[in-house]
Amino acid sequence: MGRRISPSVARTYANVNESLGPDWYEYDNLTVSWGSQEHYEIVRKVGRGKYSEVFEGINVVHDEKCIIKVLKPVKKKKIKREIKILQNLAGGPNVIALLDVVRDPSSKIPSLVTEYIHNVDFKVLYPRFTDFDVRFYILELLKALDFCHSKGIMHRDVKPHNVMIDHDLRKLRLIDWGLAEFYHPKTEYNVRVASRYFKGPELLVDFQEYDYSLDMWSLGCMFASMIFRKEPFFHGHDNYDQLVKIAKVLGTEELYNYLEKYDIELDSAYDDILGRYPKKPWTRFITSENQRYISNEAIDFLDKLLRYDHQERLTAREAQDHPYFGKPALMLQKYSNLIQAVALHKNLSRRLLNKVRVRDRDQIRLEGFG
Amino acid sequence: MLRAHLQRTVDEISTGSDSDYSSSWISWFLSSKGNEYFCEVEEDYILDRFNLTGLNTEVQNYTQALDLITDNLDDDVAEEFRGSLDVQARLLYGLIHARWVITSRGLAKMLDKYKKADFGRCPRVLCQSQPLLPVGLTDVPYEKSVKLYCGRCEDIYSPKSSRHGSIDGAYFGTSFPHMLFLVYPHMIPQKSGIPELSPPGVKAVEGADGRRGRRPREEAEGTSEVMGEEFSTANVAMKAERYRPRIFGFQVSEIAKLQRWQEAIRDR
Repeated sequence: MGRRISPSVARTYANVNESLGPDWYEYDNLTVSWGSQEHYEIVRKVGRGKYSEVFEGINVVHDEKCIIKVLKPVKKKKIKREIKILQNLAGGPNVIALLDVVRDPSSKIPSLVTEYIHNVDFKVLYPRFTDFDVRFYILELLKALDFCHSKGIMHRDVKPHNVMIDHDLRKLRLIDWGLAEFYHPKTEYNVRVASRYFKGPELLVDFQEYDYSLDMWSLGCMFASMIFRKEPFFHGHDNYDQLVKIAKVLGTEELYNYLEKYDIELDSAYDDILGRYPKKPWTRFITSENQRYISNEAIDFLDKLLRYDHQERLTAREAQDHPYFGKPALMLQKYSNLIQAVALHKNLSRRLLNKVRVRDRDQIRLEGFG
Repeated sequence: MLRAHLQRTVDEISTGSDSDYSSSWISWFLSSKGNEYFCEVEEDYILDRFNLTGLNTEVQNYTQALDLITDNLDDDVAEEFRGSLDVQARLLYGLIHARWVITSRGLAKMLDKYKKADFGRCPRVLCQSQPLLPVGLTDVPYEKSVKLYCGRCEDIYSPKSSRHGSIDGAYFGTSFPHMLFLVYPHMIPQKSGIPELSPPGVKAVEGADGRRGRRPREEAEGTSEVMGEEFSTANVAMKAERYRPRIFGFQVSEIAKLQRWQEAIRDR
């Protein structure tokens, strides 16, 4: 029996790579022009991931802060993919800007230099958000997602850790494009992407013909955790348990409908752990602590993101037009432009201030040695 | 393996207990004379193949070498092959070690060794027996032997004993001590006084330099104007090579800034 009845194809932007051509999507033969490593110095460590060590750095030529992402040894192809994608998306709304690519001449270890964002950890920042803040930043994130999807690229690792927010400047940037990939219809992709709590059902049931809508599930998980103040929203202890946690909310019958639609056979490991659960109404998650984020629009928006069936989820384009973002979403867009204009001024003055502060520090240190 | 088997037998006799720990290749390697600078790389780290990406091209007989260090080598591997395999296993362990010691768990293990001054102490008198950290001058194996970095005078030294002096510096890497001080900034040694990690009995040297352990080099103020350029002290000093700490090839900003200033002053 054939496993597949009909192939699954993205509802939108399915053929953008084909129309943009191989120069756009082929990354294997990318020739990287390496910048000078001597222009950058390491200031402090800000994080680490499976694939990289991340530092706050300084561009000593322009005296400007930056982020240095030192890539751990992986296949060359993966490094080229990340660079190509960052270059393709350069200048896109709320996409982290790649400033330079450098390499240690002796060990050949490559590093990506990107813009610096004064980020506050999401576990500290998100609880401080107002209802408006959540709407504002989700819309900003949607702009980044719709942009990359419209360019034929799925991010595949959307989660709060990869969304940098400078709350003072109300500036959001989607970072870490290390797992991002070009979308070609009818292609089977690796399901070992995204972080567990944000993995879409398609990944958990080993359905490889997924598309941009994977990012919309991850966004839905992020959104749910923000409005219900439950972090993470689906808290699986392993990949199997992750699907169980989802089924306990979205229901098992709905899961089986999904599996049937795409003729997906469930791993036998689920036989003993899946059980039977009815669909839980979203209102069941409302508490006195989170009710300030809740509205009919918020619930309806969430409901249209967190769907088993990846084809049913809102696209990033559709999502921006959802009533959750104001009657005409334009109102908010307008406000966002205004905020960013103000932010630009604030940013300039803060950078000047920072420079003065750096000089002060130098002076103190140097005088100490005088 | 043969050695490991022998050791296991001895251990079983001497302690009367079946100790898996003491019978492993890694524990044999770590207990061998001359290997005191190395720390134990946790098995989980070695067994996650992702962490070893690329090493298969650096080590001959990679698979067997990996089997040997993880105690999975078949006993029927030819005897004459064992010798060369042992060399490859050491190389592989060394290269894994270099990656491991800059992970958070690896740094913590090396920090413990640093606190015990396992890497020796700074020979510079005014550093008050400041404990040292191993460092490589290159990350490429078979090029330079291991050196020792003093966080107090920010300079590097050769190990005192020849059995340490012949260890490959690439097994520790160029970034290690600087990563350690980046992650544990409170461990950066004071520039003056007795180090917290000093051995008992060390007293601070009082006097002109006691107040400040490190001074900028002679300031050639005035003299450089009087003397011709070829004779300027600053000019001579400029030729002196300096150690520049790097992490993955990037200079460490705090130190680089200070060095730039010192060089500018010297050049005046």
